[in-house]
Amino acid sequence: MNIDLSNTNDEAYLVKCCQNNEPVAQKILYNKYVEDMMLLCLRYISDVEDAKEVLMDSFYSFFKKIDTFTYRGAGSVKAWLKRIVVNQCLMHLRNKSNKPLLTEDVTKFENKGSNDSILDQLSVKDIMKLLQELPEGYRVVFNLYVFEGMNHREIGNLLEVSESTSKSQLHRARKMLQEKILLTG
Amino acid sequence: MEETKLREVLPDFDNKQEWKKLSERLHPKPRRISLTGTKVAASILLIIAAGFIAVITLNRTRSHTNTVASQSESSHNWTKDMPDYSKDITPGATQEQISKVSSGNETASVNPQKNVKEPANNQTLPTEYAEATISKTKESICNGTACPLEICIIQKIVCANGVPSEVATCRTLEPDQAKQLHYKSPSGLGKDCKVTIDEIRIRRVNTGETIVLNADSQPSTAEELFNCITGQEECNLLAGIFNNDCDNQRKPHSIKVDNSYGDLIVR
Repeated sequence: MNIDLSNTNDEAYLVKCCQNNEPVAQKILYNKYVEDMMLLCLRYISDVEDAKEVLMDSFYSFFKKIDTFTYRGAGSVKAWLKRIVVNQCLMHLRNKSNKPLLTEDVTKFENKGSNDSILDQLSVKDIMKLLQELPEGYRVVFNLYVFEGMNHREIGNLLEVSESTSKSQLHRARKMLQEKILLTG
Repeated sequence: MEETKLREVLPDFDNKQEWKKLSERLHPKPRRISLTGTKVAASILLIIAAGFIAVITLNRTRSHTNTVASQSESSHNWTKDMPDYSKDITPGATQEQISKVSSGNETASVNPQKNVKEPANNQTLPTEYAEATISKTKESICNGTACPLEICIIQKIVCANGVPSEVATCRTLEPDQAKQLHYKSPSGLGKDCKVTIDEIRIRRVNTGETIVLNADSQPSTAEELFNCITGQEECNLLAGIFNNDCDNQRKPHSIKVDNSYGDLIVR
């Protein structure tokens, strides 16, 4: 039985079809999320070709592992895919530098709070450019904290560093971004 | 920010191209072997198989030829200079019985089962093979002595209201040579004719010395020897004694005719 999936928006059904290795369903899900996932990659990886490669690996991994995925309502597919992409990005960064992404930062810092709303005043392109100019460690923590919504404990666990290191990295990242924004004025 | 378009950041990002790459990775096409390559491989296999079969066939043929050749070699003298069967009356010898092994001088032998003539000269490979058999007919007689012998059979033919006629057929046998003796068979004549064996002469060619067998001869009569020659009786007869050998030296030699081993031998 041939089903026309081209107009199907039912993600649960698409996931089921993908679990049956149905190319049409795979293409629909890919097209639905590819741009967001590419942007996500570019936030972590400054090199475009590397980002494309990581994107490819992420989708490949997504479709290969989709058998293990349980659909839990709207957004669950995207959340799962994002996690895969982020993990792939981190793995890529680790493999690329052959060193831990972050080293323990013992410097005490005071979280004076920062105004992330300043980012709202910038275009995506500018933000992306600024992010890509950040040192890798700052960029990763900033991304995980600001865009992925992870707390410092989660970031610490993920990057195998302490919470305070995650906090200090985030603080420095913000500071650097603010300086850059002011400079670009 | 996620809702923004990728076009703003990366305008040259080619969705379709990226999907194509991913799709090829997700669904790799089975490796196709080119038809030409398959044909070449099949041809090579066929040639190898054909060559293999040809070698086996050739080896078998050679083996068979060697067997026939060795048998022919051993029976060479038995079949050499065999008479033309069609010309002479050979009582008791049917067409099936005259299956012979080809010798170098024979042009062909008859396969009784297939009635196929095959070349005696095995230079070229035959397509069919006759079963090689050594003649066991009693009509062929082998000279097992060291000297050439001439054997003559003298018969008397008496037909009704006719004058009796005498027919003599002779055959010279070299040492270790086999030939069929010529004589008239009663079955080859009319009903009113009667054939009797008058005399059989065995002459030593070198010396001219002759043993004559007739109805009254001792230790064997002509009829006894004839029955032996025609295979009508199993025999081991003493035909007579030559007083001299081939070199005319005075060395008596007895002449025996023996068919008890299947082959008629004068020794």
